[in-house]
Amino acid sequence: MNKPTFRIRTKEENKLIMETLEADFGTNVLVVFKEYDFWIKEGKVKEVFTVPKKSSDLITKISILEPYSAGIPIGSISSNSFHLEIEGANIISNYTSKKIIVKTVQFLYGKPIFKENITKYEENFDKNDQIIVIGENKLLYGVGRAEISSRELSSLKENTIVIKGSRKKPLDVGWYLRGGS
Amino acid sequence: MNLNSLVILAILRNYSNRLLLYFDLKLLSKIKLIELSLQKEYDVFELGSKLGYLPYMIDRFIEMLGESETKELIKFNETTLPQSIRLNSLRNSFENSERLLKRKGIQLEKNTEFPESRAITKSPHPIGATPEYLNGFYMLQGKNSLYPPRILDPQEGELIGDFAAAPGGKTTHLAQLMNNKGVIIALEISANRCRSLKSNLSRMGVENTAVFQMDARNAKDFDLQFDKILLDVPCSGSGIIITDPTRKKSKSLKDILHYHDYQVSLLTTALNVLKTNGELVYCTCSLEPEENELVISDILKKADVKLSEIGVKGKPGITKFLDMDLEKNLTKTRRLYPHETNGEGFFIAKLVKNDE
Ligand SMILES: C[S@@+](CC[C@H](N)C(=O)[O-])C[C@H]1O[C@@H](n2cnc3c(N)ncnc32)[C@H](O)[C@@H]1O
Repeated sequence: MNKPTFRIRTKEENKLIMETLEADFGTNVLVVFKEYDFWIKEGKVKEVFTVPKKSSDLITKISILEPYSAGIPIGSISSNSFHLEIEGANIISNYTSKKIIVKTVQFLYGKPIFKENITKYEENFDKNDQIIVIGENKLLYGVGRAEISSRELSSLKENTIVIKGSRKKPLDVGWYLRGGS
Repeated sequence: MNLNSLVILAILRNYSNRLLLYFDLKLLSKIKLIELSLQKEYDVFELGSKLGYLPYMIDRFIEMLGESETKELIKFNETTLPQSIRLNSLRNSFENSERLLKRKGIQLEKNTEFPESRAITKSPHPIGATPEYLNGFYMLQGKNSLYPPRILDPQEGELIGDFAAAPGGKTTHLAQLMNNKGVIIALEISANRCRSLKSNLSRMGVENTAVFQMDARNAKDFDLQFDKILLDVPCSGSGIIITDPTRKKSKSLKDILHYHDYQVSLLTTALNVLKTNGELVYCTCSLEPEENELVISDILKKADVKLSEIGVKGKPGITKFLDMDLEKNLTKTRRLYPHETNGEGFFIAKLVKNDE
């Protein structure tokens, strides 16, 4: 029998996801996943879904049919790291202050966020940290990784890239218009 | 016909075809309609042919509606439906979403029937590209599409089947009505359409749904008994000519009969995996009796189910068509005609599975 491509996470994957979330966004965010199981869709990258226990138990029971998807895709695992994506950011955004507020919608087109686009950030960040991006309208724009640390910001030029965008990855909500799925 | 439209018409007719390229088919149809109304009062067949319908379709509309209402229907099909949206309580309160949209200059009008439904009366922005849309605060959805999930009335703890699910307008509505509790099993045969289903489910914050890319006619493989099932079957689409004018010519009577067989087999399987006393809502966006009352009639003959009343406006199902006399209780089904409802055409039936 072929190995399933949509399966419940292994213990190691669970640990990686939880530890990354805690390290990047704080302990508070873990509570939102309490009544959920993570599921993995194997592919070029491993897509991670958060599935309510009730659905998780049911799809475990239906072992002869494999879901295409279940629950909400929250991120992906590649090169042994967990990367948060749009809907993961949406779920945890009320439980963390790891956010920057931006005054541009450019990020929704897969474009980078420059220093000059930032209105404020709620918490200091280090290079390579994941940060949730929010518009001045308080709406979620997406998530990305810091190219520099917040301590360096004051000494850098206005056109320094703080967070890279991506047209190819589900990091900003504009993804839904780019035919993302 | 007012002077303005006469002037526009004259300009359009005098300009080269290149200019006309900038106008969509819909506008061309409208111009045709204006032209037609300038001339003598056509009879319904002439009007049908001028508007590009295959003659057999007009025959059938007349059989269903009579001549004068057929004229109303095909004239209405040349107009544009008001845009409408469904506000998504899984993402934001109706009040907040409404406030945000109003702030952008988007004017909304409440629908007296469903609190989640709004007509867009004015919008300075493309309504399918706002950050609010991308955050899943609403779904672009014809107002009549809200009936099937509302009629199914899914409850928080239930196991619901949505057996022809993509792109998920109705799946996401079911999840909203269930407050993201319980479980929805959404089946979709096409891989491409599964992608758009998954995308809509994520955007709208739907947690309680598992998608399976498969033929719903194999639903018994789940070995599950569903509390309720929504079956929004593939159909010939004659109820949505207003949004897809190509349907005036694209389907033959043979196609309709093919849909009939396919729909009967989908409905038969779905009923097999429905709990005793479970409810199933069957719907199409077709006006053809073969895809509607005749599907239900076939099923009533062979399955242990009964039709249930669905307190919805619209015309009762047809019980006489051509030389056929159908069960009287098919009047419990509903036909929503575009010209009567100012919305997409729909047929809706609710079946309840009897005790064994
Ligand atoms: C009318 S559309 C459904 C629209 C959807 N319920 C909504 O509200 O967005 C019918 C869908 O059924 C799918 N379909 C066709 N045959 C099927 C089958 N045998 N099993 C599952 N899905 C099927 C089609 O690909 C199409 O996406």
